[in-house]
Amino acid sequence: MTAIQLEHLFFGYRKDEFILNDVNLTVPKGSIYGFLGANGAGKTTSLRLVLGLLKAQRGTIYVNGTDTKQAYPEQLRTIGSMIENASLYPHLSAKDNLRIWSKYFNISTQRIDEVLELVSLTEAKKKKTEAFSTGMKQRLGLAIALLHDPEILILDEPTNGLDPLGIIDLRNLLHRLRDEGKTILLSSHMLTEVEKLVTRIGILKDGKIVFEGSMNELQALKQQNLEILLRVDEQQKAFNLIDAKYQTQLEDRYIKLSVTHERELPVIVKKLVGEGIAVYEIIHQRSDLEKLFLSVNKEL
Amino acid sequence: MFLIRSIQAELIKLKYLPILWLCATVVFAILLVVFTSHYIDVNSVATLGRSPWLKIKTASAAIFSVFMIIPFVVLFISAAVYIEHQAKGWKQQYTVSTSRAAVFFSKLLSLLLVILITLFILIIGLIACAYLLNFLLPELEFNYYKIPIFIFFKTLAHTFLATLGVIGIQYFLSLRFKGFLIPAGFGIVAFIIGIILGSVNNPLAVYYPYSYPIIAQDYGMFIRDKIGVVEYGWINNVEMYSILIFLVFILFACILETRKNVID
Repeated sequence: MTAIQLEHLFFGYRKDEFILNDVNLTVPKGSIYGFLGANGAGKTTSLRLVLGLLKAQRGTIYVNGTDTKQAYPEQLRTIGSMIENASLYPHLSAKDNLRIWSKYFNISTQRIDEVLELVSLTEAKKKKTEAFSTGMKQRLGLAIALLHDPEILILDEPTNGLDPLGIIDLRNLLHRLRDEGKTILLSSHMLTEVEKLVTRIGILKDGKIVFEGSMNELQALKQQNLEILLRVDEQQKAFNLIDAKYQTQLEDRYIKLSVTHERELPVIVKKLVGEGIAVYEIIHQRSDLEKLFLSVNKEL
Repeated sequence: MFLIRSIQAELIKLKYLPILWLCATVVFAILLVVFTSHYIDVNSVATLGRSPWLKIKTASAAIFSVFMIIPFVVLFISAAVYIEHQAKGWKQQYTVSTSRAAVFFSKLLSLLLVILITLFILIIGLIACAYLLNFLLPELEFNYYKIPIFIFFKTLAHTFLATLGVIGIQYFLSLRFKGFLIPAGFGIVAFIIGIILGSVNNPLAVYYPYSYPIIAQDYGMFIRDKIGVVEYGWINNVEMYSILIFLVFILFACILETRKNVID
């Protein structure tokens, strides 16, 4: 079952100048989906389209299997969102801010206290939000998104402004929400954070999805673009022997090279050993998501 | 039900000190002028055999309609809508599983409600002011005459109708421009032009909504016949134009609002 599905989505502010160009994306129910991309790639635009804040020129958006055009705006009841910065009224307290949205959703004041507790803002509930730190504002934005207990959460850069402890708290909260059966679609450029959170990932570049799959699939993709560090006894001689196509570089005591597939590595080592060079150490540089992300972006 | 709940939500947003001060200032300024003028000039105000209530009604309505209502409406609507722009609240507002038109009208209705409440408080304040004057100056004889409450409401209802056109235009402008200064500045300049048109009895004032509250009722300040105000029973042409302008601008603003891309 899919919670959100984008099919052949096109969007641009001007005719024939598309910011999103045939975007296809599938967010399974109960998953935490990481939506990655550089600034200006079109992440926020895509999320706004799902929420009906923008209207797509072409393509279809399904939420829980129903075309949003047919179920707008009732379907929005199933979604809680925080797009970019939280929408807060600075002259009002945290509790009053939540009271506003509780009126729209016809929700009891008891739920306001629950969500304030959930985002650890109970102590600050009477404080005006103009005095809030960026992190507190983000947490209150999350509380607003959670207020009506939606099935799907759409969070745009939710870790913005959070300190390391806040990020850990958010991660734990999102895991807890996922365990409760909620689907979470979050965009981020803080890749190390997404890596620890998401079950599935989509990478957007220049308005196109360049990768979509599980974390394992992305790791497998990376196996085809390995970065290797070699430590040898005659560094300069080895450096000259290795073909330039491997983008060799000298880095301290190591020779750094890139191979397109791991089977090329024994060939290189055999050649060096054949020339009488002793190979002491071979390091596969562990690819964190940031490197994977960059490599996918670089490819296309 | 949604309408009532969303109006409640809008009223929470209006717990904004400058807006509350604005409403209070308008009421207080009128009461102060009325009180002072009666207190100082008691001999000309106190007329034997004539209700002092009518005098206080005419004086307050003239001050309010000519000098206060338009700046009040302009500043109030600009500030109230600016709260939403400042909070970047539209993106959240338009994802509350109801139509944009419902959100648009609930916001408009809450603004109209606050304006009407301010008018109501003004009437209560005028009655209180009259009794205070009577306590200090019994020769004014307010307590000898019945309070013409219906006339008070009728007068302010006419002022309200004549202001609807300006309310429509200002609501439209405040939604279109994200800042406070442009709609407020436009409204104030338009108000000054409106006063000038009215004060020189220019017939163009009939087609200029920012003059309507000034000329819709006869305060003995302008030559309404020369301007071209025509009465049709309980309503006049200026009030009818005002309602029409309100409807046109509100409809136009609603269409734009429901179709716009929300990008901030």
